[in-house]
Amino acid sequence: MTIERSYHAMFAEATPMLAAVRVVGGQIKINLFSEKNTTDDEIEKEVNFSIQKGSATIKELLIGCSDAYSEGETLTVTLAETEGSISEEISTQSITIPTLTANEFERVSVTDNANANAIKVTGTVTIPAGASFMIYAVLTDETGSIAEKVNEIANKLEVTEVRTLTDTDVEITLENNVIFNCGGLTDLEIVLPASTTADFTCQVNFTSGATPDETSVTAPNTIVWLGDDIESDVFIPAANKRYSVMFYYDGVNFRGITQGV
Amino acid sequence: MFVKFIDENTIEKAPRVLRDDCYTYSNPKAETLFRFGYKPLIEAECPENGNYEMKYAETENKVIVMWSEIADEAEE
Repeated sequence: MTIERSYHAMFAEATPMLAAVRVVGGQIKINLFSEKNTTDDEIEKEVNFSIQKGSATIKELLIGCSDAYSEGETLTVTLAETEGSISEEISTQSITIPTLTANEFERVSVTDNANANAIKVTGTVTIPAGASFMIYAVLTDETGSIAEKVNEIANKLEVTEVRTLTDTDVEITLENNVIFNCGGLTDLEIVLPASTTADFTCQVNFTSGATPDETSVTAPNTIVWLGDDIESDVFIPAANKRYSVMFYYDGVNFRGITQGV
Repeated sequence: MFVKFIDENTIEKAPRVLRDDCYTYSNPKAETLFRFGYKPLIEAECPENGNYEMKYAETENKVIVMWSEIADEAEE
């Protein structure tokens, strides 16, 4: 996942900041707002941040305060499509800051838009005396660039064998560094190997049938799918496509990355 | 089309994905559909004369469409 750091004003009146970043798996948490009230009274602080998220999806805001908070103030999240200095707003949504328990973050969902590559968060928060207030944006990029991910895995694949399968109904037990080349399939069953190594990679290529639903795929529930023709986390081949599926072991699960053309 | 018989008025179309404890089946084949209780639907044309309503019946290996004649109110 990449973050484009841009210090241009993506929205005319916003000042983007990227104060802190932590990467957790396929997610990234970006600190949008971090203020400490050093006075003995509550103070109001303006929230005005924008970030360019590229292809990443904004999932939620994490909001926390070092003291109890119950003002219920509203933040406005604006999604936009930006190109250079040109910004076109796509949508806005109001986020009500929930009641916060001291030193605990609350998650507030944000609805993303596929066309948006930038986010702006604005509003006002009342920070209790002596307290710190923070807002993070949680972005995910599980899909990102499929081609990049496939290339990354393909580079790890040290092919020891290309095995051609001619049947239309095949059961494939994945093998490290093996490419299975199939023709048109009506039935594909994937079996995981009994043991694996950290750098396990395997590729399965096949052509789907001419009609929808013609090619069935049976796969272990533990495979995590990513890429083309994935619906509700399940790989459902479409008709008339040549698929290349890269399997690799991520240390916990087997993942299958599908590319269909 | 594969369906699951619910009652004489209701059938459920087979989904594109089925799951059991171990496996996920996308575009499942007939033997998998049978295992999950889905059977092929055998349709029949509605008779031309008279008033009919569609009903379903289940046999060991299929679900069939039947047309049940609706009694004419004038005759009652």
